[in-house]
Order: sequence, then C-alpha cells, then structure tokens
Amino acid sequence: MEKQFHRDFGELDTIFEFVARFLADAGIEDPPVFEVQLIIEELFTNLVKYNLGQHDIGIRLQKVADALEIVLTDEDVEPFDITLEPEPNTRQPLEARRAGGLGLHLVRQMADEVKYDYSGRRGTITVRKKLVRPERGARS
Amino acid sequence: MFDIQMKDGVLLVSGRLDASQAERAERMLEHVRQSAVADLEKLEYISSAGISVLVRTQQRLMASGHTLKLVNAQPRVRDVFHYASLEEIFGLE
Repeated sequence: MEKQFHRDFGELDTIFEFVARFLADAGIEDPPVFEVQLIIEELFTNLVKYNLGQHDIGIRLQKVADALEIVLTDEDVEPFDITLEPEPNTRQPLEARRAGGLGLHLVRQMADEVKYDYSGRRGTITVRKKLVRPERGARS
Repeated sequence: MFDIQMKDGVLLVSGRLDASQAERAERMLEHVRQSAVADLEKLEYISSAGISVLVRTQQRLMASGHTLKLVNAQPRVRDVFHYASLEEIFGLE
C-alpha cells in the first residue's frame, strides 16, 4: 500500500490512519501500530524539516517475508543519509541535553534495519521491522 | 486531540502528543512555573517532538529548583521514555 503525503506536519493524522488501516487489513499485531506510527512520524518529520524538497513524500508499507517494510521516498532533493547521523548522548545530564537526534535514535531502537539510498535525486529510506506474532484474520 | 487539564493540582495529559501538537503543548506547559505532577494515564501516543517539549519544560523548571514528575504512563509511552533514557529524570517508576 502506498500513498503520497504533503510536506506538512498537518498530514500526520492522515498518515496515522493510513498506517492503522494497513496493519489492520494485513492482520499485523506486532509490530504494534504505536511503533510503526512512531517510526514513520520520526522519518517523515525529519524529511519535512531537513529536505528542502517541493514534492509530496511517498510512504509505502508492505510485508516482505517475515518483516514489515516501510519505505519513504523523497523526490528531487539533495542527499541526506540518516544512517550516518551521530547518535545523541542520552547519558548526559538533562541540563546538557539538546534537541535534535532523538527521533532517529528512537527509530534505530525500534527498527531491525534502516537503509538509505540516493539515486537520480531521489532519497529512499527503507526500514524493516520483524513480524513477531503469526498473522491472524488477514484479508487477501 | 492532545489536551492538558488541571485537576486537584495534577496535570491530566491526554490524547496524542506528536509533532503537529508540540507547539500547542509547549504553550500549555509554559504556565507551569512550580513543581508539578503530570498524570499520563490517558496519553495514547508520544513521539520525539513530544518528548522534547517535556524535556524543555523539565529543564526550565529545574533551573528554578523545581521538577516535573510523570506518573501512570502506559507501557508503550513508557517505552519511548526508556529508549530516550529519560525515565529517571522524570521520576517514572
């Protein structure tokens, strides 16, 4: 299932509905909808904030073998490889902590694999999250 | 819809605290000037944008000798604080 979304935080509710509907239709209970929504919010808002693109952002969800695959595509942008971004120091005392980097840290914590590809001015982020429980009630 | 209500001296936090609600949440929390307890029982979702709002609030309060304590977080919300290594800082038990 794939859909394009405007580069606007106001799209988040629509994205959350898109995620919930896909997981329900696919009969996927684990990873839970909370984690998938969070991974996608962090990646989507990162693209909106830091990629100076003009086009809508594509989000594709699909089952691949024993995993849920989440793919975000951003057309006509400069390269921004999120896998090279440094980890924030979450052991620092609160007063020394700065905003930034936490979202990608959460994605790395929750995902099993995060990949970045850049080709033809298109940035593609692919996240894999293993399916934990057997699927039930999946629609064909 | 994200919301914060004050009841019996406790901040009752509810709904979803995502990037689209972060500015609104920050404006609501600007009114907190002393030590406070926030009950997260009805907070359904939080992302890094929401966490950052709470971190900035805690930093501001701590600078004046106060603290924000969080209680009753749902397991998935609590997981996010755990991944961010923020449970202890907010007194999450």
